[in-house]
Amino acid sequence: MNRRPIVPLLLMLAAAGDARAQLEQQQRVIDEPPPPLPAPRLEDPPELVQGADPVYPEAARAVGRAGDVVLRIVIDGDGRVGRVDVVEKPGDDEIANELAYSAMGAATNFVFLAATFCTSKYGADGYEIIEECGQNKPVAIDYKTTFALQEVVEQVATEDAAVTAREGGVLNFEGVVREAGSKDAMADVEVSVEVPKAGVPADAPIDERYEYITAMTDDEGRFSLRGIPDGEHRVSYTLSNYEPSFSDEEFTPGDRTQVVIYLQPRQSNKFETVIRRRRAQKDVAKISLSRDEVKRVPGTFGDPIRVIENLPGLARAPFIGGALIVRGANPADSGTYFDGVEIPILYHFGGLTSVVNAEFLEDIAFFPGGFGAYYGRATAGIVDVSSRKLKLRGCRGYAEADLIDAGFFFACPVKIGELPTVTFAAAARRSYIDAILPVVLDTFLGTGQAIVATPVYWDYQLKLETSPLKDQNFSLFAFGSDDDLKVLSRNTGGGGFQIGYNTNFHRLVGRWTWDLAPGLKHMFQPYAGLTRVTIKAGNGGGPGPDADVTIGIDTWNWGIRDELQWTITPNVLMRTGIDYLGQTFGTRFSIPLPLEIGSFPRVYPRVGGTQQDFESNGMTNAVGAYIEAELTPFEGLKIVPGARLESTLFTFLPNDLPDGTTSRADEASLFHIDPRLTARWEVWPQTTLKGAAGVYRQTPEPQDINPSSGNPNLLEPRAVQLIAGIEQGLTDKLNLDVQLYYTNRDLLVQSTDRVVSVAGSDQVDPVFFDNGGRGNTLGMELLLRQEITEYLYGWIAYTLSRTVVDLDEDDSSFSQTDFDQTHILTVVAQTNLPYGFTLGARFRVVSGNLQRFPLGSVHDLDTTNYRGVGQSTRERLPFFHQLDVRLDRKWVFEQFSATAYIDVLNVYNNTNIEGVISDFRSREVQAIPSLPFLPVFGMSAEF
Amino acid sequence: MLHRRHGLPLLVGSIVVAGSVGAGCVDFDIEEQFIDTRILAMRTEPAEIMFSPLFLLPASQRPPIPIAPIDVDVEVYAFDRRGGDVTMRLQMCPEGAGDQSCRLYDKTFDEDFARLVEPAKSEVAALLSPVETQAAVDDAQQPVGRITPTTATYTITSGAIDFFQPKNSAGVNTPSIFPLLPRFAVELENTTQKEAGAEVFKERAFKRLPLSIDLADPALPASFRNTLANNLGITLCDAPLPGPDEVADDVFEGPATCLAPRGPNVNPAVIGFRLESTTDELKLTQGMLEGEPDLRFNGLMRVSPGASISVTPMWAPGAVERYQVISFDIDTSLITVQNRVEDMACNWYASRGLPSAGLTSLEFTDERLGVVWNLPPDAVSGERDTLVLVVLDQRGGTTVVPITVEYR
Repeated sequence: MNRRPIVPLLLMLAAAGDARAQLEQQQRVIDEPPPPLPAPRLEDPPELVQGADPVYPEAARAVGRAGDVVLRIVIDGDGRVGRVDVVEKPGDDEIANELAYSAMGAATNFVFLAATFCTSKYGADGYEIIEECGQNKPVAIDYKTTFALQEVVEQVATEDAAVTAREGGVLNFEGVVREAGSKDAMADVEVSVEVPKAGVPADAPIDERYEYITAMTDDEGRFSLRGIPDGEHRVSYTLSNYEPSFSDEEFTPGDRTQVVIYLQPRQSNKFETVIRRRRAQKDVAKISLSRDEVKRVPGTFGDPIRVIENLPGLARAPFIGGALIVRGANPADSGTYFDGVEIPILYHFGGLTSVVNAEFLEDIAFFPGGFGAYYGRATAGIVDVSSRKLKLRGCRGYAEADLIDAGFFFACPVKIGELPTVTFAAAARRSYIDAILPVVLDTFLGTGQAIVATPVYWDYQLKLETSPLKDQNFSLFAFGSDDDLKVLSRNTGGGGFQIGYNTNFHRLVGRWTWDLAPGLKHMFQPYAGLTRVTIKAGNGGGPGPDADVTIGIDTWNWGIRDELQWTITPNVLMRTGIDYLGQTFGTRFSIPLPLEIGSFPRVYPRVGGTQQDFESNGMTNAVGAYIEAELTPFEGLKIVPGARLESTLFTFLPNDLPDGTTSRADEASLFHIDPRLTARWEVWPQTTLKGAAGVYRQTPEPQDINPSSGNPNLLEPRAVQLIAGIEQGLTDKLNLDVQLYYTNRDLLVQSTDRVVSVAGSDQVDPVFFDNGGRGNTLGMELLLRQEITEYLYGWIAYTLSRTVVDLDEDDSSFSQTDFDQTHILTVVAQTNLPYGFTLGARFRVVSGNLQRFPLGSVHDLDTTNYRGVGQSTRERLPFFHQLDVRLDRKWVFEQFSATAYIDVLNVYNNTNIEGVISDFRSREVQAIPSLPFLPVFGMSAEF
Repeated sequence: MLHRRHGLPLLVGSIVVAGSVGAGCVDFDIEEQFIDTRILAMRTEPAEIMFSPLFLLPASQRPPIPIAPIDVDVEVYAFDRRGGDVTMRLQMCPEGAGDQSCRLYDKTFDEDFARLVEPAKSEVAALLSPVETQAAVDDAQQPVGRITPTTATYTITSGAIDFFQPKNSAGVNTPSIFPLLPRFAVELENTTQKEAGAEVFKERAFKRLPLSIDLADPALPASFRNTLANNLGITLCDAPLPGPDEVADDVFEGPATCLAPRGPNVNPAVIGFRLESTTDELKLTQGMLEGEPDLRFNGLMRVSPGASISVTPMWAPGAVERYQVISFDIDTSLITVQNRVEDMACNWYASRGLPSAGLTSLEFTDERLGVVWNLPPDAVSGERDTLVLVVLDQRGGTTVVPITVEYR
């Protein structure tokens, strides 16, 4: 509604009588009549300085009545309202009167800056007229209030008496329930109005004294209630895992009470089903995690992706963690995906934090094995991170800072005209440990420490999402990451060195999903990107030989995923798709290449003038096609047979050589079909048997299959995975999942000294690599999970495994791999404390890594190097055990929330050994300790 | 995925942590400081032996080669500041025999040795048999901690040269134009410390003795020289390499048009040290200094504890030799000849205190070859310490020059 003073109308001057009496007195004294005094003149009109809008009468709003009410307001010399009269109103009926009354009620509380006037009087001679201004005088004004129906009013449906009668009363209570902090609308909240029963004694049981009028909120968080008797009633708003809210509302005849309620989430609900089995499971080993569920696990610095390190099947990575050692396999054998698109790294700097902002995650799927035909080019496990679905009704934001980095997330839906709503989200993060680390090193190691590392990382995510047509969804997603590390030696006498390592990647991903028909879904996802790795080493720019080495590896990626999913019958679902990936592989070398064949060994290489630049380029085109079916022959049994075929073509492009010639182009190709099968059978309630078998392959590295530098007849390394397990519910909240697995690996690429005869000549060619390598993993995983209770959640994960490999063509025996860890036990627990605090703990006990120890050395007096004379057989380092604790507190306000936490690693400061280093004579060894006691503080705010 | 690089971030992360650990938290012995038994150098005289290209021919096809047996004097520069008696074992080994130390070489199991006939068998047996010597640290001598005696003489005969030639799997020589690099291997053990119950490690070292073909030997038959040159694709010069007065070093170095006749390499000649007036290592004198040294070989200085001594080595005229190497162009697959100038690597070790650099060279330390030796402040009057300079010409030549100080 609008209100404004219309043209001020001077109606009455209380001071006019005084002026007239003054004039008559002067006339009696002076014979010659003086000129008449002018009437008082308005200098400044009154100004409204305090006042509130009138209440729009519910009766008028209900029937859609609008209009103007003009009031005449008398304002006294102090600016107060002395009287209010209605001059005009929008009709003569009752509703018009209510509008007028409402306007009058508001006007009586107005406060004005009083009007000022200029008045005139005669001077001492009785003739001269003198004007005096700035005098406060009473004044009356006409004031118009406009009652206009706005959106919120228009949403109130007008109903006639018949509807009222049919629905059981007048609609007199409505509102919206939102979550405190996030302000998200909340569905399924029970709204209950407590109404006293007539004629029930006050001492009767409470159930008999009251009746309850209830309603549930809809998806928009809205509710409405009818027929609530007049008077003040207690209203309650309840939803599982949220603190109940109460309000006392006054209900009056003809009024409709409107409220907006914010419910506080209970602290405990964030733990709910930390490890979540999503919908109807079809996979045997898949574990899904959602973003909110896992943000508070200790030792992860709030990074949800790092929580997978605590799950069975994943070995402990050294130091901070980060390497994906899945079921004993080399990290390179596992695939990491973001929205189904391969990314080269999952973590910054060896596991410090993941390359994806936590707020941009929807969920994380971790397959320690037995993954379906959707995935290929990996023989061990898969981590697939899904980006956040932007189903937002309002803007959301998040900012966080801790001792390592700071970042933000912001998302907002935008609607322009009649165009579909487009929701955008952006996030970015930048570390500042490059500024902190030197200070820490100087503090703890002294200012003269020889090695200084300056790591910097940043990442970003940008996403647009919209639904242009019914049943269609389109998104465009750009993300990337950059890690830059310089290690610089200093104070080492002469020379010194500098090592630089940089890796960055960028990806642009489009995704179009379309429900073609009931049960028929289509997904089309093109993508492109660049991965760049640069390694530099040199003498630090100081005095010394010009020994700079640069290796750059550029990989352009482009690809398409296209998938069709058809639910043929309730018991048969087919899924088929194409997974095409194209990649360039370009490596640039700029290295000193001193060539003095057979020359005497030197103390340092003669590198001056020997810098050589050359490169190797090519591309791969890999087309994968897959099909799988989800069959449910009878309730409780699900069988998923599938197959994936893949054809890969390597193209080695001609490269210009320093001597002006050009290397020849070459090709190599590979093809395979891999069958896969998973099955789950719920034998009886709470008991499910499961199993999986499948063949998995991985593409060889280009340099291994390059006809010039490798073996073009190489095949793809292969793994056959066999999994059997049982899921057993022990109680309502306690579940046990046990899996046995065996992975047989063969066709592994190994170096060879073999040569082959060149057809038609007496020459021989070296083979370089062959597929003679083999290995296997045998293991058992156990996951005992305590699902949510009010005060506790957690799980115990235990892995028993042994991984061996044979990559020596001269020795057919197996040996345990560097990644083999026999026992891996992880216990995670979290509980709520008073005053909104949450306390979490993680305890890990893991077999020590296998370690060889030096056996001494011999001094090469020509090069001055001490050459190691061998190493011992491998021995296990002591068991790793560490306790990490996290304490956090979240404050939830109506419009935003804030969180502060402290994440303490290695609480009891155990000296875990990650490896050993030896002295210059390979004679003495000292342990490389893992992280000591390390507290990390952080804060975040979210709206 | 087709190409992954998972290992590098992990490696980098490890570098950061390990670097921090390695930089500040370990307590290892320092390489530039000798405390227990250390072998710092081994010097042979001559530094190189030249032999005729006729050895490229099978023994049955070549004419008698006029090569006299060559005596090689070997001196081991070993130190042990703790004193005591030391057992030294010295032997010669073929290139690549046994492990890198060649300590495991056992001629009785060697097929190549078994094929030898007299007198070569006896000549080679004398080289390969370990010679055990009882030595000791004389506390009164200088330099401090020097183990003596540590010398031996070996006789290289034509039979030994044939024995050291590379062989195919049938044991037939497959001669190479590149130098043969048999080794002198030495092993020391402090028996006094061992008997006293201390943990004693055997200290091992080796040094190569280059046996090089003189491709431009004017004594060769002309037809053989021309055939050899044609097969290698190189040209032979008649004149020796130009001296520094004729062509500057930077002009001389690089591809050569022909292979010149030459003599064997000689050990670098350091005649003493210049005592520098600065203790700032960045202000030490640059370049190869010649002239009268301030401190002669084995000089003894009286100093105060905690003092700093700055020294730069001084060289005899012509100490830096010019030479040629045979190289290979990886792109054209052609053999080439490259002109080189020796660049001396100066390695510094101290019995106590630390030199400002462990390695100095014209290329590596901005042409400053000297160091600042910071002496221990807690030294007692009358005690001695030694700074040892080991000069390597990086093609087999070695010279060892110690400086000993006595504290006031």
